[in-house]
This record gives sequence, C-alpha cells and structure tokens, in this order.
Amino acid sequence: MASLLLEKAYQKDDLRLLRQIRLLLLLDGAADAGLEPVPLTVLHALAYLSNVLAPVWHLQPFDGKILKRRDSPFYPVLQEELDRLVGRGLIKVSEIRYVKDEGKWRIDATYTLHGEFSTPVINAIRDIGFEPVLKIFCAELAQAMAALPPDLIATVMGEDATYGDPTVDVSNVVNFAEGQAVNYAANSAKAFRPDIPLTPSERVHLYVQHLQDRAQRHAG
Amino acid sequence: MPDNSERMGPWEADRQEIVHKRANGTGLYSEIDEQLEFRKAVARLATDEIASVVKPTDIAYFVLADKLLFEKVRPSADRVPMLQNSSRRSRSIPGNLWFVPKSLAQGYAIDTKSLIAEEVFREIETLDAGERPTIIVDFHPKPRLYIYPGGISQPDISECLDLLNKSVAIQDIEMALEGSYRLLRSPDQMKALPLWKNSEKWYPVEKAEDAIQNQVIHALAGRFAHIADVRSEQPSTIGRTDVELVQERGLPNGSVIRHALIELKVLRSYGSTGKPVSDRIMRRHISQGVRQAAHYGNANNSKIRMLCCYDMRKKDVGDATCFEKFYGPCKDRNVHLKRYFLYNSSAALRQAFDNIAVSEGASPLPE
Repeated sequence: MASLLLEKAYQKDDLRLLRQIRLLLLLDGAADAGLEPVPLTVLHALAYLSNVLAPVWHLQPFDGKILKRRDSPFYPVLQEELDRLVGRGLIKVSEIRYVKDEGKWRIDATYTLHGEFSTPVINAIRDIGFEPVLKIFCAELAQAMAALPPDLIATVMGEDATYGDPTVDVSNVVNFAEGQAVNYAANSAKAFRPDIPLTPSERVHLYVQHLQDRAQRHAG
Repeated sequence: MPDNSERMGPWEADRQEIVHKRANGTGLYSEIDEQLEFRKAVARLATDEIASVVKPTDIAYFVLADKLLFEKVRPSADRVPMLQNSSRRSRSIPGNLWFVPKSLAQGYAIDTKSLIAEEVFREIETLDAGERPTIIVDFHPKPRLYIYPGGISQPDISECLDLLNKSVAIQDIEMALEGSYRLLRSPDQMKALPLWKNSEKWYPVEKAEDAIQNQVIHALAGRFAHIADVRSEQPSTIGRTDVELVQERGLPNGSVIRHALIELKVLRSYGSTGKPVSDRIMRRHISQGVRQAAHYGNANNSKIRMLCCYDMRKKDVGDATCFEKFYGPCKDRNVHLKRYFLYNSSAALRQAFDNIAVSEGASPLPE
C-alpha cells in the first residue's frame, strides 16, 4: 500500500508527499549517524544542505531558493510537512519549547523517527527504488553534520558559501538554482582537490569540515 | 575533473586552501561498503592517537552502531561530539567502549578503564550488539586493530592489523590481492557479485572488470586502512579500471605518496554474448594494460606500477606462456605483471588443486 502511494506521488509530482519523503530520508540518515533526537535547527540545516549541495551528487535541488534569516536556514513549508508527519505518528517530537525567533515566537523541538510506523514507509521508499542516490546523499550529509556541535549549527551555517553570502541581506531571497543563479556552495564543494578523483561523499564531508574551519577561524 | 573556474562567492578567498585541502578519506568508501568506511575511520583515529604526545595504553572498543543501537545506548552512555578532533573532543579515546557511526563523526562512550575485555564483551552482548561490526584497538605494547566484521559473537572471522607495519611493497599488495583472489577464483564464492554470465560456456558478465575492481578495492582498502586510501576513477569513465594507493596521512600538508597504480584487465575466451575473442585480441588487451600502467604510473609518479590480469579463459596456460612476450617490455617500462586464473566451477578449482598435488608427487586418481 505504502509502495503504491509513493509511486503515485512520484508520478504525479505530489510535492507535499515528496517533501515528506525527503524529511524521512534526512531523519533516517540522521538516526544512523547518531544524531537523534534531531534539533529543529539541525533538521532544517540538513534540508538546506540537501538542496544546495544536490548538484555534487548530480541531483536537482528540491527548493532552489530560501529566505535568508538572521539564524540558520528554516523552511516554513517543510515545517508544515514535518508537523504533519508528527500528527501521523511517523515522527516523535520532544523537548517542545517556545523560542524567540527574529522578533516573533515559534515552537522549537527535537525529532525522532517513530520506528514502528516509519520503518515500513522507509523500507517501501527503498523497495520501490525511489531515488536511491538521494537516500545515500541524505545519509552521507547526516554523517558529515554529525561532526558539528549541535549548538554551533546556526553559527556554522552563517559561513555557508551560499547562505552566508554577504551580498544577500537578511529578509532577502537566497537563490542558488533558479534562472541564472550561481550555486557558490556546490561550486566550492566541486573545487576541492582537483588533482584526485574525490567521491561525492568526500566532497560533502570536506565541505562541512571547511564550514567548521571557517566558523572556528572567525570565532577565534 | 570538476570545473575549478566556477565562482565560489564568499569562499573565493579560500580557493587555494580548498584546492589543496587535505583529503582525509572520510566518505571515500561510503558507497562501496560501510564496514570499510568504519575500518578506515578507526584506523585513522588509532594512528593519530599513536602519534600523539601522550602515548595511549588502555584499550579502545568501537562498535558500529545503527539507529536501533544508538537508541539503546543513549540512556547509559555519554555523547561525545567531534570525536575526530583531538583538541576539541571531551573524552580520551582509550579506556572507552564507543558506539559510533561509520564516519566516527561523534560517539557514545562507556568507561571501560576498570573492566577486563571479557566484561566489555559482556556489556556489548547485553546491548544486543554482539553481531554488530566491532574493532578493538589495543595500543600496548604493539598497537594493533582486532577487527570483527560479524561482531564479537563471531570471533572466527576476525582479522588483525599491525598498525606499525607501514610497508606498501609489491609483496604486501600481492598478499592483499591473494585474499581477494580466494573469493574471485570460484563462482560459488562470488554469488553476491557474479563474474560469470554462463560459467559452463565460459561467458563472463559484461562488466566483469567492475566486479573485480570492487573486490580489489575491498582487499587493498582493508589491508592498508591505516596507511593509504584506495582511489579509483569515477564510474562514468567505463573502460579504465585503474586503482591507486595514495597516502596523504602522516605527511606534511601538500605532500602525497602515490604508492601504487594497479591496472586491471580481464582476459576472456568469449564476450558476454558468447562471441569468441581471439588470442591476438587478448594480447592487444594486455599490451594496452601495460601501456596504461606505464603511462598513468609515470604521469602520477607512482612507486609501483602493476598490471593484474584476471584470466577467465577456458584453459589455464600458465604465467610463462601468457606473459612470454611481455616480460621484457614490462621490465623496460617498470610494470609488474600478475595473473589470476578464475575457474568456471568449483569442480575445476578442485581439479586444479589435484593437478598440483600430482605434480608434487601424489599418485594420480583413476579416471
């Protein structure tokens, strides 16, 4: 049943369901990287990197632009789907609290896959062969992000080659995939070590390491 | 090669740093085998510990965890972020039982300083992790990795890696390749990744080189996990199956030692569709392999250049006959030749063993 639904969604380009699949794959990768329970900021940062670094894996970004905030990346539409998955029982939510975010209050939380209900769906995603490269990419991204201290995610994302572009002000759109936009992050990831044939996984790890190096350098 | 001229926005100032960034190999084997990635990460961490000022003496235990295991250990273990960063991690590596992801980006630790190995094993089994891949790093007196691919509950398939043995000579490479040959030589041992399309007719699969390359990478990456990375060209460039052993670890930044370049060729009597392949074409194939090994070896300044021929032909003609016309040219080009004959059935392999026994003096069996 789950397989049929997924195939249907894929064919009909059902964006809502495809976003939910992406969330499950990101959380699945995060769980295997030992990142659970995943803080909201980390999950949205993973979603952002899965868009901006998609070309490194020869994939299309799911969302090619994002509204720049003072803090780390946040996708309101993705959050809606996350809440929906919580409501459906596929994801457990914990540590719910209110945080002040850009002058407004929003709910913050941490997220964990609810194995009993999410495992059959994740297995179905695998069994129908749905974007196997995306699954590997999400898992690898989570492995790379696991090296970062969770409380530094916001600082680290401010150093991102695209999101941290100083020529784009807060409250403006960061466009990296639509029209004539240039994807600085993907270009940077592709620029590592031109003398050796790095794998896409290595490029993602090197990119996140460099993010951290820059954050440390600027903090120091 | 990636386009290096693309704009990098605020990272443009870092271009030189990015271009020369040390590739520590994290993620190199992710798409091949998570156990290789895990082994490499543990070996790297262990060699860093050995090189540190404070010489470690306690044992470190690493269990490759998945989401279920992380869920179990979370309540009783301490989370240690930035595990690979010796100056920033909050806990020492030795004297702990670690539950880690394959990249060792972080870990959950349980103090084992007051426990003997038997007690630690019991702790692992209590968490139902006895069958999870485990690596034990014994730092003292001779640093060694004890690798349990099937977990500590299956000690019969464990391996030991001497971390002080940094030799990458032809003999070491051959020894590693011999291990993979044992898997490749009979179709029964290669069921997961078959080399034969129709073994009874000696028809190899279309991409036999890819399956062999995969095994060769496994063998070399496992054997040299503490020394070098095994790199190969990206899958899109079909037809070039070169494998390289490259070392950056333990060297000054910017320095690279290219220990070996290994070119792989499959010798066939037939194509995958059953079309016969002549000896002349196979000789050309070997010549091409020698040229590639010499050319890439020269271009990359590889210390060892090898051509390994995996012989899937009907008859095992022996090295001397197969390479008769190649020994001289290979010596001139500094290319080492090696041939591995692949049997089309386990019966043929047994027959070959018996032929050796007879040649060594055993009385022949009646027909």
